[in-house]
Amino acid sequence: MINNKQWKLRTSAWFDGECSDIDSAEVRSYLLEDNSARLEVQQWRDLRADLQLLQPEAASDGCVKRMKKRFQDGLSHEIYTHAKAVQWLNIAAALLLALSIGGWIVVNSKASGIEVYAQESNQLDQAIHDFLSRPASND
Amino acid sequence: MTLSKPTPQPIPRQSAEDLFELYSAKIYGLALKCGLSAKDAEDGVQEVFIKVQRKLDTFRGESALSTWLYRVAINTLRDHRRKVTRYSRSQSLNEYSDSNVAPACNRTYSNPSLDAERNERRLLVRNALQQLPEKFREVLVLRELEGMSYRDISRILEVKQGTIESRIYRARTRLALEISNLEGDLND
Repeated sequence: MINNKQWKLRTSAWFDGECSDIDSAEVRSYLLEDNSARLEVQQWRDLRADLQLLQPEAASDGCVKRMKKRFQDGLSHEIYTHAKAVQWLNIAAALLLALSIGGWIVVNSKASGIEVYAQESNQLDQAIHDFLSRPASND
Repeated sequence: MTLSKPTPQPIPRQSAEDLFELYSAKIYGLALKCGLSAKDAEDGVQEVFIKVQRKLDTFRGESALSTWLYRVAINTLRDHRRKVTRYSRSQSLNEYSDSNVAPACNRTYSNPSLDAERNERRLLVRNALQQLPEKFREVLVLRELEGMSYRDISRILEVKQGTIESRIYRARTRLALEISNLEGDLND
């Protein structure tokens, strides 16, 4: 059983051509029986006519041209800003890469320097050790 | 107006500029119908298509491109309208009679008293429409002024079709009441 509110919703949908054939037939029967529903539909017709008064003229050529120019300017700015952002990002990435490579070189060259020094020191120690451990000469 | 079927659709290769060519005039009309003045409607159109440019990559073809574009437009124009009305609440009503936005109905009438009467009625209806809550105004604009089906409106607003049906009914009832109140004020 359809209640009053559901009938109103269905009638509104019928008014907009959104009902199936079966529903439309039911709504038409309902309208024949219910005077207030008929009045409401008439009110919607008046509203529809009223709302059509708000239908604007199509945009003039001048208006479309003006909007197009503004859009293209806006688009250029958008693309320019985006390109600038990408450019700065690239610069930042390049700097980061350069710093990383520089840091790696410094760390590695220091490490190898210590190793060389150590090697030299070891060799020197060894040489001193060898020198001192030589048997003393009788001369 | 009927939007094309949404599924399945290949992801478009159109640029924002192509879409601007195709839809800018329609979106301009939609902006006016949503209550923006001619100048604000132009600003609104620019905002819509800049947003389209930014978001075009996110379009996955789940709905028709026109539905997606109208969704972006409605959301952007809603924000734009809020921004504008915050600064000038009554400006749009006065600017509506600019030559740019003179309603189509004005062109064909030569009887001055009839013209005046229609203009008066138009302002009254427009004022009544502005009094409605946003959700009611939007469905009425899309249904009555854009001529869209319930299904298309539900896709654009991302609301269930049953909700749209009930919202349209309630919007009509509210608009009739607002018009009647404004007529009452005029007669007093």
